[in-house]
Amino acid sequence: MKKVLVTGANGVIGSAVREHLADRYELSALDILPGDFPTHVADIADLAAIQPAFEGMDAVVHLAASISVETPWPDILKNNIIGTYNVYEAAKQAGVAAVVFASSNHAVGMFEVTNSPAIYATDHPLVIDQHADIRPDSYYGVSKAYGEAMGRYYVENHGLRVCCLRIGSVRPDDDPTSEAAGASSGWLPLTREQTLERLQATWLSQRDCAQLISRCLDAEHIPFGIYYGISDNQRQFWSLANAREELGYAPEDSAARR
Amino acid sequence: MKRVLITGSNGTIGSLLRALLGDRYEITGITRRPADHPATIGDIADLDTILPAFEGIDAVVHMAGDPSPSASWESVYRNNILGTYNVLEAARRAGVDSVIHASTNHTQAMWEVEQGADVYAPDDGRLLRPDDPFRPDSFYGWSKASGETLGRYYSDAFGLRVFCLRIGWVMGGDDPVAMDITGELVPPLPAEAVMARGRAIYLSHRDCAELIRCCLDNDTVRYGVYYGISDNPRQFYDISNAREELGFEPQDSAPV
Repeated sequence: MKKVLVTGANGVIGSAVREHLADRYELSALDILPGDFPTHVADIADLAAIQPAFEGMDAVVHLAASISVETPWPDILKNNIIGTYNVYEAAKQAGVAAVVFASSNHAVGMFEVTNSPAIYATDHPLVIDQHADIRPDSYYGVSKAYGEAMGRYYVENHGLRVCCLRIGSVRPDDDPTSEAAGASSGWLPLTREQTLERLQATWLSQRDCAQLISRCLDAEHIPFGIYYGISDNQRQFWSLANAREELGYAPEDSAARR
Repeated sequence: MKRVLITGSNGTIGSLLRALLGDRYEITGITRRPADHPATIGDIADLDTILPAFEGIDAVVHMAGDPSPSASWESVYRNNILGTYNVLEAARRAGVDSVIHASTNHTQAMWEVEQGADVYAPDDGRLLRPDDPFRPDSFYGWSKASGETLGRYYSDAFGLRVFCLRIGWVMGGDDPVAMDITGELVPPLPAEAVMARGRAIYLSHRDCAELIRCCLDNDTVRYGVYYGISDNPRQFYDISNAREELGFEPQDSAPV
């Protein structure tokens, strides 16, 4: 059974990984805060402090980060740029084979921003794939693009295997129609209705998210890849084609069918 | 006359730009050590120190940074990641129109490594395009790719116009025949291959200044990434978009 370290294990996605994948992998946890499970408590901005957690690991799922699109630059620098370097570097130094990097659709978010809200309609033709130009919509998106390029550097120069997941909308309540979602558009000037319409397209259920991460952990034939992560939603403006073909990702949920 | 601020104005390219474009633009500099030209003495890693230098500037040519492919993470982080953010942010705050970001072929150098030394042969037709994926060979290459990414964000989000130039090989002595290949063995290659590579990516001082002039005089591009090489016999970097979008016409050439 592969030994897998999850950074940010206490977060929404970390919790989904622990719930859905604990019987497939020997999971261990790293988080800045202690949880109700055994955790190596350390800040990813501190390389020396996180290094012991990487010893003996086969793979790392790197979720720890500032996750708000509106995170200011100083926090992005510390948590997402230095933090991600530290995770790759600790993985390399410990001889870890693979890193699954939680990237974000916000690495290419300007395609959405410039086509919003029309892009959310089920009959809108635009689909953005992994070859699209890097066009971040925020410092957060910038940092995720940095992390993808750094992953490629570690793959081609240090033999790490890296899958970058441009994760859609994973919700704490796992509900693509939730009233709470409509209240939190935040980064885009959307109405409540538009925010809910967006979520119909960008939703990634917790179990589909866990499946996607699992497919990456198992994809030993793939040295480097960039994949979008959404459920089998009726409207999909991020392409799942390469995740389906290369990883065998087969989402079981759909926002529209809920 | 456009007011142009050059960061790293004392470096190889900063110096040649002052010499070749000094009568065309009103040039000031930022440099860490005292200089013999009008310059703010300061470190681009310190935003507050460099901010005043951006007041009233039309365009910034951002050359300052750690230029070594073997630079450590710590140096790259400080000089190239923090430094480039500070330059873009200072330009945005001061209302500067455009920034020319000195990028590098090391953003995609693993493509070259993958092709092998045959790619440098005069009759080899393989071509690397600016919009092919980032494939850095070093923290340095990664940092320059990151600067391009941040430039794209500043262009899309704040309207700053950003030109990223993946500058070929600008040699101190400007001589593609007597090139000094010491320290250029990234990737590790036989000396003959390094020489062939050098002739393919040579960028003369005059052509380098011309490429930057093309950017400074351009009023339409919102964001672009361009390779910069002279009109060398073997070229594996595609400069067609520099020719078409910027009107770049290199005058010099390395020998075959």
